[in-house]
Amino acid sequence: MTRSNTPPRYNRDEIAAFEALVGRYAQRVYTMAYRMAGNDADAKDLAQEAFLRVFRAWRSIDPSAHLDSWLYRIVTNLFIDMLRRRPRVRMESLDAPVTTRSGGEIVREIADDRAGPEADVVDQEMEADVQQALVALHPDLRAVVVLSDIEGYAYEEIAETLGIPLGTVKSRLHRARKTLHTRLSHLVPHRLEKIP
Amino acid sequence: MTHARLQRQLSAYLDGELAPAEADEVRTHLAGCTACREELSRLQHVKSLLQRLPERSVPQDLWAAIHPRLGSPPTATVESLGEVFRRMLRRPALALGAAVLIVALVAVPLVRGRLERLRAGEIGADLFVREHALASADDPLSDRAYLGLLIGDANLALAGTPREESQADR
Repeated sequence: MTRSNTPPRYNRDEIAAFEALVGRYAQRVYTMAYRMAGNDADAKDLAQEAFLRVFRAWRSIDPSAHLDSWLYRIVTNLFIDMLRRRPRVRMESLDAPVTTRSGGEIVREIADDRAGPEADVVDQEMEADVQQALVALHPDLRAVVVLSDIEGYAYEEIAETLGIPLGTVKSRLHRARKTLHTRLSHLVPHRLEKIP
Repeated sequence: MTHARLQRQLSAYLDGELAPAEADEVRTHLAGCTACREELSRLQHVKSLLQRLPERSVPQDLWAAIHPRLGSPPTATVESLGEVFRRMLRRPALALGAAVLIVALVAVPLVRGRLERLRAGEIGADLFVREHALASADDPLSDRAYLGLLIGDANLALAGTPREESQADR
């Protein structure tokens, strides 16, 4: 729906501000959209739409508002809308086994685990496995685990963003992690670790 | 707390989202329960795996795709109409159903109204009512407001027929 005949409503300063905003937040918004949607095309659509919604509301935005958390909330809601509009999107059952590209037979240890959990990012192959396990999660569980473990939100913020009770956040997150563990058992060692 | 109930708290414990008393209870249980310690360790690994996912590289043309769409009218009504239209395109069967319903909702009262008017024109006791009923039956849309009055009047003439009755009485 392009309206090329409509003169642009925004002045040069605003457009410059928008471009700067995209520059600043695009990576996180896009990554979050990708983790939820599981593919580049949908992630790009979600990111675009999220930014456009912010820009359309630009003149009524409270300057002290947290733009970033608003953006992430928009992405989350757009993602949920997208799933509602497209019920045919393939969704595996929560108990369906996942075959990994590596065949699921190979047991790999996390090489850099000894250096601390946040020491380094996972490699490409591991990323693909984790992403596949994420997309196989039920969207309700996926949204919670992405907001919590990837975006680092507190339970209360997640409850507010998704409009669900705190107890539901707690139980969904636990279920999501347990399901992910079952599917990613080849990446998660079973040996007992020292508990801090 | 039972073992099973405690185990369900482990994620929240890991995230530091339990109340101090609950966290104490979990901590005490963990000291004596190998299964729960192992479970906690697994949950921690899953969390760490997710935390260590890399950022994705942003498509080069993201801003280029957003920029031309900035000029779209931001008014809520235009936005929602566009959304409705898009939804109609996505679900043609539903849109067709809605269209048929709308046509029926408009057409049925129109046809019925016209019949009522013609009947009122035939049987109306009052010359003004008859004339007006016939005129508005030809062009019902020009006289929607009159419809209620007309039907009321026609009914009055039909149901009451006070003049006929009084004539019969005579």
